[in-house]
Amino acid sequence: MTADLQTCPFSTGSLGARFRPYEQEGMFAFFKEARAQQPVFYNQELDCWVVTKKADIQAIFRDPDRFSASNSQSPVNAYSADVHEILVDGEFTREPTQANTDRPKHTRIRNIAGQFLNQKRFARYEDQIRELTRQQIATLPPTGTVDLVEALTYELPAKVLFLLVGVPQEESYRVKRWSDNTFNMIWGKPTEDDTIAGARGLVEYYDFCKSVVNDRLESGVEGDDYVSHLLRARNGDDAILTMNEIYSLVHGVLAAGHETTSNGSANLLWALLSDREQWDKLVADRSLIANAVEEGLRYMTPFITWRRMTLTDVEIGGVAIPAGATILMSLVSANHDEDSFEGPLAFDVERKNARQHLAFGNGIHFCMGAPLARMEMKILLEELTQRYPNMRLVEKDNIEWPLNMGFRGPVKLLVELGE
Amino acid sequence: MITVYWVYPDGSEHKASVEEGVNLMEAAMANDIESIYGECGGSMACATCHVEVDESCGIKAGEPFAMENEMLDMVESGRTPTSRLSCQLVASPELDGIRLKVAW
Ligand code: HEM
Ligand code: FES
Repeated sequence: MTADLQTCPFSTGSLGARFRPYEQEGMFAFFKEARAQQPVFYNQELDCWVVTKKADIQAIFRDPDRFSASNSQSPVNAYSADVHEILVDGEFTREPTQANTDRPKHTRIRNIAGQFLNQKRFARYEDQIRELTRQQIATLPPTGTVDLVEALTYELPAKVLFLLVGVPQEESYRVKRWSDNTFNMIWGKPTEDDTIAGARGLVEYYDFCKSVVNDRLESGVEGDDYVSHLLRARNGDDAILTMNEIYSLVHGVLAAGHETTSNGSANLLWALLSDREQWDKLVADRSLIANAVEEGLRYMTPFITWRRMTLTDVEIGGVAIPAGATILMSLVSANHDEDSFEGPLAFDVERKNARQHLAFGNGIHFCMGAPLARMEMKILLEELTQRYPNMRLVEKDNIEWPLNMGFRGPVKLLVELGE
Repeated sequence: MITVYWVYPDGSEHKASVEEGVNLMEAAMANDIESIYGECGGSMACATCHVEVDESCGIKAGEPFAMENEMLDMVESGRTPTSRLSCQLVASPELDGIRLKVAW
């Protein structure tokens, strides 16, 4: 590896020039090299500083005074004037409320959202989530080949989320399409034609969120769902929450709350089935499942990168970075850091400190849905290992991953159900 | 600087000086206090920084915040009347000498 670097004509700039942020192929090896050779480097394509060590990334997450989250969900490829026009005409007034908001607004809103999005509340849904999971699994044939993404992991987390938010289950497919589009518009590499169509999708999606909130306001806010909770907390007072903030919160959770879990579930299944011994361990001993979920999140981190912006001149890992710069934290690299995890490139469901990953971020923005995502993935594995203990991957390699610098999950996961 | 004591279930204790303004989860991490993990980084989202304030030391830490309250109901080690998430306790002169029982 070292020899390679030394023969490279741009010896210090080389990592930055070789970084392929959208491609999943070769990513693990690339970051391994970066952690060893140049753990903080500049990438021109995205005009950002890439940070790869866990300790550095954790320190950034815990330092909101110097690192703003305001850019964390900005489109990586800026929208054209035409796209802006569609968004303005369509009254796409989504505003930052959570992940991409700084204090004090962030604190005000997180305190309200956290009264609903918390472990205690999620625990109440456990039986219903198990029931939904069983129903979805019951739609699979007894044997034969299926695509687990299409048949299972794509829609199930959306159905779970709809239960909490209070949206009819029939809408899940439409919402999945819209949020795919949202994610592609932010972290993908769409063509101009795609972004024009995509912008219309954003408008439709936001209109849908507005209608969910407005319908609830009309029909009564006594319900046990997230939208009713937000409207009750607001109680007509803009100083607490504005209506546009509520639309934005619903929009946020309707995308963040399932796309990630869909990817996380499919990644986990891929990792487990790629190494049958690991899957067999879970079949033999269900008490390993909770830790397997953590190891899946660590090894196959669903959000591979997350962003921050420097508010002052800073130094990270000895590298000086000016104010106003984009920091790209490679969460997958943090989770593969040799200084934090032993033999990090092995997938091991019995790893002792698997849970110390940064897949859910850290600090004041730490994922509010983490307990829910964990529960959903655990239930899925409990049910699947029981129903299809002999399931096998049809093809271990040649998996298609999305062309995306933010998130990752197999596009398809063909398995032989066994029996 | 204030003094903070962490007390383990077997009665043994760990004493440390903590700079004002630092939260007591961070302080516990810096002092390698066992069984405090601070997994979420101090956002009341994990409860792995749960402690029980030992009020026999004469110091009270006050009531938990609303969101903290929800989390405390879920702690694995079991909630007590003086349970707090230590990430929400910030070192200040009023807390000088505080004793925190580490939940196991
Ligand atoms: C495997 C699934 C998931 C992953 C990998 C994931 C990942 C993340 C990450 C990386 C962040 C940013 C954290 C930071 O900046 O420190 C985040 C924030 C957030 N997530 Fe998740 N998430 C998942 C599931 C969910 C679910 C199911 C929900 C909703 C029920 C949810 C709701 C949120 C919210 C509301 C925030 C913003 C928190 C804030 O800014 O205060 N997430 N998530
Ligand atoms: S560190 Fe997670 S709740 Fe205190």
